[in-house]
Amino acid sequence: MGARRTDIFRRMSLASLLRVLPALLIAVPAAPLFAGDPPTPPPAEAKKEEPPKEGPKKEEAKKEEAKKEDPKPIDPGPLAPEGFSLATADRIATVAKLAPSRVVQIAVSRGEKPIQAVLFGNPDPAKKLPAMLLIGGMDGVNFASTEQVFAALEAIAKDNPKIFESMRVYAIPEANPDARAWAAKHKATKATNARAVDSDRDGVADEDGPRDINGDGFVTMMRRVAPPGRTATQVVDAADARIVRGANRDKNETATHEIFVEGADTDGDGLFAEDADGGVDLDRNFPHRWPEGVSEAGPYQLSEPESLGIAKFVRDHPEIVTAVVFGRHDTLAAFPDTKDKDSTGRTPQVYHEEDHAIYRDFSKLWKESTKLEHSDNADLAGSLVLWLADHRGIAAVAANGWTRPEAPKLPEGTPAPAETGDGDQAAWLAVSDRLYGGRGFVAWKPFKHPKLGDVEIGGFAPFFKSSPTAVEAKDLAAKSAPFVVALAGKRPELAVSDAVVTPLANGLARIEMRVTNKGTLTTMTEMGRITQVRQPIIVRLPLKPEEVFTGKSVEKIDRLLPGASVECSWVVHMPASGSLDITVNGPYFDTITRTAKGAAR
Amino acid sequence: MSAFTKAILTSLAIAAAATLSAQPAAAQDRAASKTDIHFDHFRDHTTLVAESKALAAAHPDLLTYTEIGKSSQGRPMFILTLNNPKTGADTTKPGMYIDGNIHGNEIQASETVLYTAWYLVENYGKVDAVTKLVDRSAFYFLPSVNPDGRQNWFDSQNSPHSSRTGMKPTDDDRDGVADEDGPDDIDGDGSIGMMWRRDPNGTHRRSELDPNEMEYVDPQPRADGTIRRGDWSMAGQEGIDNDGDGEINEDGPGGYDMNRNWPADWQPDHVQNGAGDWPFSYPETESIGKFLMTKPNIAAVQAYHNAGGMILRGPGAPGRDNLYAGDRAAYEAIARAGEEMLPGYRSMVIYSDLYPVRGGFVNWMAETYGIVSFTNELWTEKRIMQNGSDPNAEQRAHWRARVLLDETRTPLKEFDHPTLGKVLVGGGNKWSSRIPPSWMLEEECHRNAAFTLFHAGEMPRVSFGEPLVRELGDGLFEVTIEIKNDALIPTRTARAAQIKAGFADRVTLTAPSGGKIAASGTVSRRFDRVFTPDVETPGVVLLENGVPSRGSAFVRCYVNGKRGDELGVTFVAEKATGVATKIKLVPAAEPVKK
Repeated sequence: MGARRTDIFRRMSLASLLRVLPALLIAVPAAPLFAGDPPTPPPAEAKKEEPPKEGPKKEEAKKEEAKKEDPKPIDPGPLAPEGFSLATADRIATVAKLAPSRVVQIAVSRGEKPIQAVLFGNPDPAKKLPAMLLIGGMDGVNFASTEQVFAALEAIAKDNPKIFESMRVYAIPEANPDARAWAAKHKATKATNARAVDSDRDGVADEDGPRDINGDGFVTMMRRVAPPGRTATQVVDAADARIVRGANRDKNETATHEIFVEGADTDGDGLFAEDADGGVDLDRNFPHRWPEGVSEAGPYQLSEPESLGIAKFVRDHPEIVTAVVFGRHDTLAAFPDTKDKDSTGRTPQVYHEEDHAIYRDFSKLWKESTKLEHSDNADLAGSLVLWLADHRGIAAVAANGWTRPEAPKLPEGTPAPAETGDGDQAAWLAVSDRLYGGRGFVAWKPFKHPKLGDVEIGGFAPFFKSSPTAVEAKDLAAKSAPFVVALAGKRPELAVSDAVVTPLANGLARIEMRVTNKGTLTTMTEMGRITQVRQPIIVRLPLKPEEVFTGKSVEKIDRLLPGASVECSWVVHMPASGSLDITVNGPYFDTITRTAKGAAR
Repeated sequence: MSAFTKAILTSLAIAAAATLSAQPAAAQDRAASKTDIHFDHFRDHTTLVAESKALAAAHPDLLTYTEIGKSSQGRPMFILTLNNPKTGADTTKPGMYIDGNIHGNEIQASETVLYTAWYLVENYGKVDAVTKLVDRSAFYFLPSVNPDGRQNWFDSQNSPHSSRTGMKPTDDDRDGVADEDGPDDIDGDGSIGMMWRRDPNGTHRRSELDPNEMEYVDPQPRADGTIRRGDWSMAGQEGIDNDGDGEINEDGPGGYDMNRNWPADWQPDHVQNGAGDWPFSYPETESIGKFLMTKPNIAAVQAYHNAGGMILRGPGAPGRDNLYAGDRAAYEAIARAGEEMLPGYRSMVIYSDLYPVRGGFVNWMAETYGIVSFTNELWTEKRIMQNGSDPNAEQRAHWRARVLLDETRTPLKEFDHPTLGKVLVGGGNKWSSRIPPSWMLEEECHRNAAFTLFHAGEMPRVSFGEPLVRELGDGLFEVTIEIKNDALIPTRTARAAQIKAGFADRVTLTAPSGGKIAASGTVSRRFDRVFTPDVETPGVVLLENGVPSRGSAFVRCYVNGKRGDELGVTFVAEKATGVATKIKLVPAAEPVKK
């Protein structure tokens, strides 16, 4: 019987955990907690309690402290998804009017919603230019990501249209409309699209998801004192009774409680919320490091119309040189400094070491232009950004920029609250209490559950811990937009010298020509070179191979770092009266022609 | 041999002879065949389609021709579904999927698949074993995974090894133009042979045994210390520099490998050459993938390739052995049977005995769905030898000249090559090395079909064993139910259970009227007393590990009822035909009436 309950958690994949994360860590009310109640005294040493990923280094912390002498926190407003617009098509149409552009439909979601891309820049299809790709809305958690894409588009199209002289900008602001619509409707986070997935393999899909069974407007958690015969794993924290956490065996704590995701067990199998609505998490459905055998990652790579539509769009636009995926991942605030390779030993775990310079540069650019030093992050396995970088050879980064806000300091003289056994929850509670007016936490309320009997329902409010509010997202988007503007300045640019002809003998001449990358980005990443999916720069000498004595009539140049040159040199059969048009071609620049004119010796 | 054994063998022989005389030899009996389909020649894809349709039309009760998609060039991707609807819909029976020719040049694979379908439908109702197997199974035949590659192999100049790819134009040399520099038939023999250049430091010389062959010269010192050299070197496959980039034949038709395009352990081109953009990025693989996902009853898979005489199974890449560990015994038992049935064939593991394959088809079937899957590499040169050994150069030359009468070779002839100068062109033509001579084709087809039918015969066969009923008093009965599987393949392989592929097998218990199922669950053996019953959903028992290979699963339940009442039991599985029974609540001491 005990096995039954732990089953819930064993069966929950990361994605489904993500869905219910806001509610997974629970507190028990210490004193009666009503809306408007004065917040529970927060822990004084919250800083100490912060988990390492979010705790800035001590010096930085001091600096931040100094900066925030007089913190005047903006009211974050209601929790996501409230205040976020779902009228993506209208917003795309509006933003598209800011500059020459066209809007195309790249896919129709599982839930039959259109997915659009907007393509800004020179309207002449014959004109070849490098392009930057922006993507947001990969899930129904990180609503801010779509705002970040729109803010960046506006910043470019409205305020920096000069970018379009040398660059095109493509954007897919909402890649997963199914997840966002569901999340908005149910006020619960959801990473997956609308594919029906029979998570509990009982022959019925999506029949027993998390539900707001006590009608308080939130899907949270249920807890009860474990009755005889059930295995308790949780305790109510002695210092802040809102917190429910795992029993600490080192301190000889005895577990008393068990917790469940709020749900009804509609299918009567004794499990709660084990078969939620849908689906497949697009940001785990891409081929690089695809999590094989995990249902939320999809039955196979690119199994979903949304992810496949993005993949085809990318494949069909070889001019894309840089990309930013806004969402749960971050490769900018914390540069993933690893040279590790995946299980094949042939593809990087994150970025190839030869490309680290590019990504470090982008990371620096992010920190300089956004001042966002910290960010949430998530496992990159099967993500879009990894696929772009490692399978498609695009200089692609993931941008998030949001993390747990600083809780305002307590007024002078407030007694320090007792230390809890769960610093992370305590810190979040401090944020909820002091910054969100208590909205981040739903107080435990007793409920007579038809299956479980007496339980209490409550916990962290959905979205509180996983997403900024609409107000915060607006601020975040405004901060991240300058990064995209700056990134648009990163592009390769070719310069080709004149073709110099030196006659060597009658009918024999040497032709020399230099191809230089005078741009600010490599002509091809190292992964582009390794994968060979990127088109090289092709230098063509219009001679038959047998007329070329040294060198090749077709030269392919893969990777030219900024400022680097390639000397093309041929010894050819060429009369003094001869004239050859040498062409230089590539995916993102117009054909460059240099005429080599024969000369008498 | 003892007299006793001898007697038995003699009686068996008599029995066999009696069987033979009693029944017409229908297998090869053309007169009895409803169709005019023969296996003494190879057919192009157009003919393959026509004959497959004809076969289905001649056997409408059993065989259905279905198009599941189109190839890159628009040829039909078709499946022949063999099912006797009188014994149930196809998905209610264990199914076997059989395909071939994913590499366009591996042509006899299609003949082998078509032969298997032909043999079964033509002998249904005539050969007892066939009738029984067909009645309890479903078969899905897909004779050609690569219609374009196949048709191209027949229509165009090819070598034994070319036209392996599909025909979606692919820019192999990354010059912005696709398929612009393929091989060319310089000597006009309809095949792509080799080109040779005179070279004072050559690697080869013309063979003394057969001057139309080149033989390798090992650069070893002679007694006087000078190094042996040949006077010819290879100049590549027959062809010219069509695109003027200084390279020959570097961007031929297509240029990828659809057997690297499946999802299990798919890796991009730089790791696995030929993989394509992503899994199912070709219309051929996509249509097959979608079809297979609609058939959860498929319990066995066979894919045909050429050549080498191999019975191959996964894993395809290192580090994945554990995916097969629990099912190794079943794989090995089937493969061993194949080694007996297929002279010259060896049972091998893909990555360790051949070479690593990532994104291979049988690996996808085996690793993602837990389906027992094999790839046979058809035809081995061992078949030309009396003793089944590998022929040496002389034996090969004799076979070629005396048995094949040099049909499969073009003599070396000098040509002026536009960029290479004088070259010798010729050698084995496209029929030469990877396919059997047409007059050996039928035997190759039959033996492989027979192996496949053996495999199909080992798909799960479930029945109920003897129940054990105990009366505990107060109207409470303990019933232990045995579910047997006589086949080598479990209803759920260890791999399927490991990754929770599909649904677990399900035993549903129906209480007698007025009675009640109080608790139910599984026990590992009939007489086990340790038992963890499920009281949340009594009456439904899920068997995640299924019913084992040639073994039994046991379900126990506690039932309230009256002596003599009947407990209803049904067993349902994705990969086995479901069974139902009623068990009388009568203690075992008394005679149990089934």
